[in-house]
Amino acid sequence: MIASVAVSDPYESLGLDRDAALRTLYDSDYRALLRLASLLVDDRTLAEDVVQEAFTRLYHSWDRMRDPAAAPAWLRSAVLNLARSMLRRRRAFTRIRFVPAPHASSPEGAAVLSEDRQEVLAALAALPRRQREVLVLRYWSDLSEAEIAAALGVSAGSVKTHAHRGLLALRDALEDRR
Amino acid sequence: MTPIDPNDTEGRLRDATNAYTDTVEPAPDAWALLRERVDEGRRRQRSRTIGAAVVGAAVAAAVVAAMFLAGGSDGDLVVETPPATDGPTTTSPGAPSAQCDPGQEPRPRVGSTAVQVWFFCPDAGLSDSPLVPVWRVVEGTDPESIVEGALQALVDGPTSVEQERGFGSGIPEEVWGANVDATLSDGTVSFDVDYDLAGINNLSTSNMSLRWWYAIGATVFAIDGVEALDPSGACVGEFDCTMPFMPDLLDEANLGAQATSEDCSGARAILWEQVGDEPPPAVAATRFSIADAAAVCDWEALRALMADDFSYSFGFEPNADGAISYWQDAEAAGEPIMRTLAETLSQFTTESEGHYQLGDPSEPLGYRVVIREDGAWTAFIAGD
Repeated sequence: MIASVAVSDPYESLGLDRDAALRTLYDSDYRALLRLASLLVDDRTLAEDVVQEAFTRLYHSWDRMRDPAAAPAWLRSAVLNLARSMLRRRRAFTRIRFVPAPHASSPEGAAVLSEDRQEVLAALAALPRRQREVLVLRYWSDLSEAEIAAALGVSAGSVKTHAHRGLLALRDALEDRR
Repeated sequence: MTPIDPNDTEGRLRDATNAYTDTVEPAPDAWALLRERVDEGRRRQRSRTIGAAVVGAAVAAAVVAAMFLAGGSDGDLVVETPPATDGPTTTSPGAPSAQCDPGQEPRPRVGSTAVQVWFFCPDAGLSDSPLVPVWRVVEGTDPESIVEGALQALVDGPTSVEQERGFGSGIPEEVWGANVDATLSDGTVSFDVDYDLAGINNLSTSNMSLRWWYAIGATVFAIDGVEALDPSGACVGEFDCTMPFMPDLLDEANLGAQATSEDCSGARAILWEQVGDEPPPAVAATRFSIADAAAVCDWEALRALMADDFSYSFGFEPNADGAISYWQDAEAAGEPIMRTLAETLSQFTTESEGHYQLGDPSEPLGYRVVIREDGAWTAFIAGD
């Protein structure tokens, strides 16, 4: 999870040059950020594009980043904002479908994406954008309300409200499917 | 594996998202693609300083990013930074530094919109030119008004108090306050600015940035009525507006600071001119006061407007905590009761025995607001 790696030791080496930092961050955070993006946008290619763009921007602004330890949080915010921007351009706010990764079509993959899980993901995808972002950051990234508020640029109260509404809507949607 | 309780929504959400993301792996050539992308960006990079300021408008998801350039010659590219979260020296809308405190989000009145204007804060800590938002309230709720108001606020620069707090603008102080006019037509926003602003290096970036606003297909800049940029964003004639390097979507990385006033459904109310006879002044005043309070879910203001015999039943018995509690619960559950209230207030008025009822007369059992002729608010009801 992103939250757990954000304060871990690998970042102690980020005071190095930006090429070394890029590699360090790629090794430590790329996969988690790709997974976060995959919960926010509607296809894998777009998710990968979002994360690549976030890393590219970080690289080009690296020399101006006074505190390298902030890089993981910077990347997370960039992924959130880029995902939102790309969705906006595609006008697909409320029509996200979670497409299982290729190997999920294998028997083993099908097992992990059971019908129940797919129902949950479909209900999550149908939520308003902000509610979806808050629930993903809260229940997948395990971020605190304060961390989510900072990542999204909203107040902690707003996070609480969106989380509450999102969970209620999710619960209602899942009950309707029973 | 222990089955998850079907009623445990949070547990099911964690389980499903973890199971799904466990299937997501980077492309085999992800690192090579990233290196290629980074190197391509480096080739495109130009050696010039860009001072940037970004405006994010807040209500109804209307967001506009406008960037003005300050010019300079130290050879560094100043790249705006999206909100950072947990670095001790970083600044974001959610974690203001003591030096550049962005202040509290204002509560816009009906007919106005809270927007954020981003100014430099040299002492905020993330880099030597980070951007920190401050709040402004601009007149209007339509995209054109929001765009114009937000850009005007940016051009006006930080207030003296904000300057004391460390805020600065990329726009030269001598042209602060220059007039900005905006029109929005068929997806194109046109800005006409005073000639003084023509000296700003570089207007074309504003043009480019504004194109990313979802509601705008194109941006046209004119200076004293003379177009300074052609539709492609290239500079026209005498104006100094050369196109700098600007990575795609750079501005959009800053739009994480959208306002939170969407939390109150009343902010999304669509109001229109009332048809029919204008009610007495006391009734009209109460109507506007209720609408103002509903727009921002100002519960105390609503409570103060209620008559002692206020009725709030909607065809069933509400909970015992009273109208305010009932509405708070409704809003929290996603029911836009404040929007309904505000929109009901802009409907027809009928009078009966000193009570003025606002609502749709074609739906006699629909939502109605009743205000007594002395201005006391006596009901917001639905049903019989």
